[in-house]
Amino acid sequence: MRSIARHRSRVALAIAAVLIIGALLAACGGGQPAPAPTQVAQAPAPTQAAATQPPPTQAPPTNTAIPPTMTTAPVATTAPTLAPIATAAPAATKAVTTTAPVAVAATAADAASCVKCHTDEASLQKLAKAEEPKEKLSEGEG
Amino acid sequence: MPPVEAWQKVYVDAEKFVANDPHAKTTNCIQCHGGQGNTTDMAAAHKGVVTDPTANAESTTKLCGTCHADITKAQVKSLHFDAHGYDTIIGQRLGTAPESHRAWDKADANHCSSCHTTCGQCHISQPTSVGGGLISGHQFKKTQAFTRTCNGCHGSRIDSEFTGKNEGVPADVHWTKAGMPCFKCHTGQELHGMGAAAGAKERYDGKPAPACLDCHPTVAPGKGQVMQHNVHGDKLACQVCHAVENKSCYSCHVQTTDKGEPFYKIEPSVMTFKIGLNPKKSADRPWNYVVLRHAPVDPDSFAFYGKDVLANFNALPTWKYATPHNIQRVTPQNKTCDSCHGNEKIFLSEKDLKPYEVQANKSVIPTKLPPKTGQ
Repeated sequence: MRSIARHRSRVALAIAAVLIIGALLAACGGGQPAPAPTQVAQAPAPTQAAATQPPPTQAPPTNTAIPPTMTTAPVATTAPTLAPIATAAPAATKAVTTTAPVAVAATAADAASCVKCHTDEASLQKLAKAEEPKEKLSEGEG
Repeated sequence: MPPVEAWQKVYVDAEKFVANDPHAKTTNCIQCHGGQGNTTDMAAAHKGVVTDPTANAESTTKLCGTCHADITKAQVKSLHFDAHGYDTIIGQRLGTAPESHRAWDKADANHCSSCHTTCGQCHISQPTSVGGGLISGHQFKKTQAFTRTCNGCHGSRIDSEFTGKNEGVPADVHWTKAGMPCFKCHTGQELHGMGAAAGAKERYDGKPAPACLDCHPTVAPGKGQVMQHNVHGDKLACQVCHAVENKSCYSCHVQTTDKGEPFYKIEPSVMTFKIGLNPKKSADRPWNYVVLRHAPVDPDSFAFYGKDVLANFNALPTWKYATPHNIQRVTPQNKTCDSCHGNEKIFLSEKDLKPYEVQANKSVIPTKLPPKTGQ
């Protein structure tokens, strides 16, 4: 009687073990069930999700772009220098526009001493000399 | 021209020019005038300075033409720019000998073409021929005061007539009653050699510009109620009735010193009022009678430069077409009909000529005077 009972319990254990293993296999997707690849095929979903993520991935580049903008800022500093020239010679031949900025930037400083002196009434009164009147050679109304 | 202090001639106004003139923002001193920057030494700074950077066609085109292309293009070919009107008139008297032409070229360079004007000498400074000098602190002005610009070259004759500086001769009514400056009639178009003045070979080429009828259309024959205007029709230039005594010049002779300095000698001018036949008669200037004035040319005016330079002296009358700038509504010759008709004194005759110019003026001396009317 005892052996029959032992045998039944062993069979029950075996069945339970088989069921458990089966359930585990099913849960792991392993084994035969083809749906597993199908689920892999569904992976696009997560893949798309990943695709949505690139922006965040690109975000850093955006951040990286800021420095370039910063780098161009100095250009903006030069812009005012260019601006007058553009105003100066819109039709003012494009050829001039190519070289003028440099020329103007370079010589504007040079000309500062001209302006300084020629706008100074007191200095001019000291320095400017009237041309000596030439001997009048002509006779009669001119 | 009123004198200008030496310092004023080179004074640049920091407010008017440096801070506010668009030209000061588009270029700088050195770019136009040359010279050396970055130095406070006066002599070093002025090394290579060009007082008038618009003195030749090339630099004018480069500097002014960049923004003012149309005006510059015309200006460098205009009478004002190179005074080629002298070439046109004197050229006809030169004859065919190449030596005459060479002699004239020399004389022209020494005595005549130096009186030309440039962009700068109208818009920025006084003309170089009267010593130059900045006006308005180097501010570029479309129209500077005519007393500082036009009068530099046209002062002794035109300004004296217009503003009444000739003793006993009234000023022009456009000045006394309207205070009109030169530019009111003589527009930029004309002065730059544009429009009707384009390609003009001398002052009276082409249509009259300005023309009296531009402002007074009702004085044209048949257009108004004034009988005299309708009766005389196109036979008389307006000045025949409405101008008064004006300046005639005689016997200008030019030469240079041993050092090459040019000078001239000219006889005192004479106030005259002479009506003669129209030497410029054309569809544009159809009048039979015009006012004439004597040009100071003699057969030997350029004798210093060669023999018989004016070999073709008789090619043109020495009494030339004139438009005196002393217009009056009522003049001695228009008070009555016979103030003019039959009045020998106001018509050019051989009595007014020196023997050597009779031939040259035959075409402008009326053969008979308009008969007296009794009125």
